[in-house]
Amino acid sequence: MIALGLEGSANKLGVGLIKHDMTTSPPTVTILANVRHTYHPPPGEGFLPKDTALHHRSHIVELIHQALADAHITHKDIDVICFTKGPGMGGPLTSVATVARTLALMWNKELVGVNHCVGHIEMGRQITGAENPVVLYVSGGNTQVIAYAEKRYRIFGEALDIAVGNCLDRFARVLNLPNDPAPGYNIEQLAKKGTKLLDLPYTVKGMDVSFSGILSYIESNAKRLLESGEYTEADLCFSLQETLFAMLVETTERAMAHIGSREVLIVGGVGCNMRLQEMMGQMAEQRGGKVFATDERFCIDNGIMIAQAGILAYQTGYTTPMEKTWCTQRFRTDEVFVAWRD
Amino acid sequence: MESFPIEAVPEAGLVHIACYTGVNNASALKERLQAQDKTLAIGLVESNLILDMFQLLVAATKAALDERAGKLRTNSVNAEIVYNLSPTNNIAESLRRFGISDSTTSLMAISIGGEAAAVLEEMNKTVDGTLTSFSDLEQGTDLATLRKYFKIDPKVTDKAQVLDWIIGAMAMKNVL
Amino acid sequence: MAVHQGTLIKQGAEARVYIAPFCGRKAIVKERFAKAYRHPALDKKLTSRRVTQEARCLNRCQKALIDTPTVYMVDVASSLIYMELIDGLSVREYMETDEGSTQAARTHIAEEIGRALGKMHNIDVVHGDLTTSNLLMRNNDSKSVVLIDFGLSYVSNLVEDKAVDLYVLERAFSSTHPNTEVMFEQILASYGTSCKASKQILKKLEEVRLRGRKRSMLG
Repeated sequence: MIALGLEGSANKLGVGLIKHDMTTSPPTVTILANVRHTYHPPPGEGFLPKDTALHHRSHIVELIHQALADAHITHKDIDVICFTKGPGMGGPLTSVATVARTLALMWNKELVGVNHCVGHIEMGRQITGAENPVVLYVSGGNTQVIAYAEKRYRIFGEALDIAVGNCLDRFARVLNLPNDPAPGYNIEQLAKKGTKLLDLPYTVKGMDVSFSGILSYIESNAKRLLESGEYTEADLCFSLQETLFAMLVETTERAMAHIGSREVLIVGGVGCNMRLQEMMGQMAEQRGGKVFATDERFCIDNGIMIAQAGILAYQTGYTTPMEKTWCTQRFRTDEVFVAWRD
Repeated sequence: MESFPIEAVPEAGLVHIACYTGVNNASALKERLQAQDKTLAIGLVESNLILDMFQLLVAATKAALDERAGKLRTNSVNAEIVYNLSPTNNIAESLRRFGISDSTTSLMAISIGGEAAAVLEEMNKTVDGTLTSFSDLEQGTDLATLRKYFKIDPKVTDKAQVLDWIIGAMAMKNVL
Repeated sequence: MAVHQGTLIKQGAEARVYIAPFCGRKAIVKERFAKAYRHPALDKKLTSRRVTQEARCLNRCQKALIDTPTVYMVDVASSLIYMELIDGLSVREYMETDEGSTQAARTHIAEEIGRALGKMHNIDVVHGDLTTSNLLMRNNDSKSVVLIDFGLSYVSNLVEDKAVDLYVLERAFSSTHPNTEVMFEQILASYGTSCKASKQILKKLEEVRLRGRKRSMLG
């Protein structure tokens, strides 16, 4: 069984092809193709829905061709087409869903609409082999601490205001760091040279976190701190990462303690950050547990994760009828009925 | 005299507590206590402000802890015990209120560390009075004064709750 | 530093909880430990801040006659709090017993929780980590609910903070005890009658809930 996955909920456009060999139990999973094209706005700017949708429309056909070529298959081999139904930015989501619908009609395939967050979780589980981890999902739009219980991915903690990736992106804009390959990546590199810790607001409420205080503090003080020579750009990046990630690790650990789990899985674009992975690893080690993370191929938004979550649902008999293939900007992780897990 | 372990600071040794009635030299002892005289090897407490032995043991434990950390507010660990019984940070006031006064006839002597026999000998030498037991003293608790010093809510009437309130206030005094 | 003669009863995310002898009684000793993942300066700041915050909020509650463990002694240097040992199950454990599964018991717990939280918010204490594991059922005739674990608590008069406090509990409820929406409504009803500013706070809670849904706008 082969699934095509199309993802474009934010500034990454991803196309993936995944194969589940159903003759084995559990099915043997092979990644046939995983290609991506990213829209980079100029430094100091964020990506706008209109420009991002235009980017996706311009590149999706070539990406699908490339994926099919990488996989050495034709469209006839595909069983199901999976696309991101939400959450995400309206324009970009719709532009990709339109392509999914068109292909389904042209090629006479079934469609499966996928929750983007569930895509991240399922891909992370598949790649790392983590069985029942607490999941930290950290990206430009989401910050969630998730655990599975009774057919749902339940949200134990989340950011009460802005997402961690959004905080990093906007901080990068304050320092005018380039958006290529990603603002967070550039902060991470600079942070390695930082040594002096700036005392930043630290706001944890139970398993929830709040980052807006840090951002407004940095936005209003960065200039003064840099000009006075008290802190370098690297120090600010370092302080930001140390503080943000400590909050994330703390709430993840609290969720682990609460549900009695020893495994943690980090997914989402911010999850590629090596310092975050290292801190999470130190926490897990102190608890006698284990951390699972993936590299940028799977952490950053991609098509293969949509194919993976979609094919799992498809195997339980789930499809999305054409009239329900609309997209939604708001789509809670816990709204999805996880039929494929016990 | 009774001796108790200081579980939280075991290396400090035991805390020894003796009760006296018919004390004749309260006035002289009061002077030495309030002057934080280092040769005064025992703490002296107005027994009618002690509702329960727990109160005194908590004060002693805190004193042992702060001595270990080098953070005594008074000049000696024994004066510190008396100071710890009070909810305020005012040393002179604390020693005046919870230490003995000129008119004191019943008191509790308290000391941390050392061999029980030697401590008792020192206490007997210092206090001119009759050794008695805590249970004989208990009836004399001055609740009205305790309520005033600790600003205890009138709705709190149960003895255990009064004691909890007192302990809670004592615990918070070194928490900034 | 180990707690002398202590028996470890809970290894939490950032604190170990022991039962240990203290001045002739059995007490709870809560020991916060350093987190290896945190920058040492940040760790030190957070740890000592939380030890004092916890003790201060517990004492503030005690003075307002809210059922909380009495603080016996605070050892900031070693990050230890000695406090009263409460005899009773956590609400989480209690709800899993036969007795705690009955309608009557749950109504009683809900009323107790609502009342305790209402009184706590009246004195501007925000708990910060309300879960059913942090609420105990006192094992006596009163079966009153005792609020514990004030490690993330702070003093605030903001409606927002109190609403988030309730939201944290609501989510802990729905994620730990599925199908208890009615019970949570009962908690809020009881809260409404004991908390002075409950109208504004409950209105804000609606807002916080909506924000929670809006928050997943971007992929």
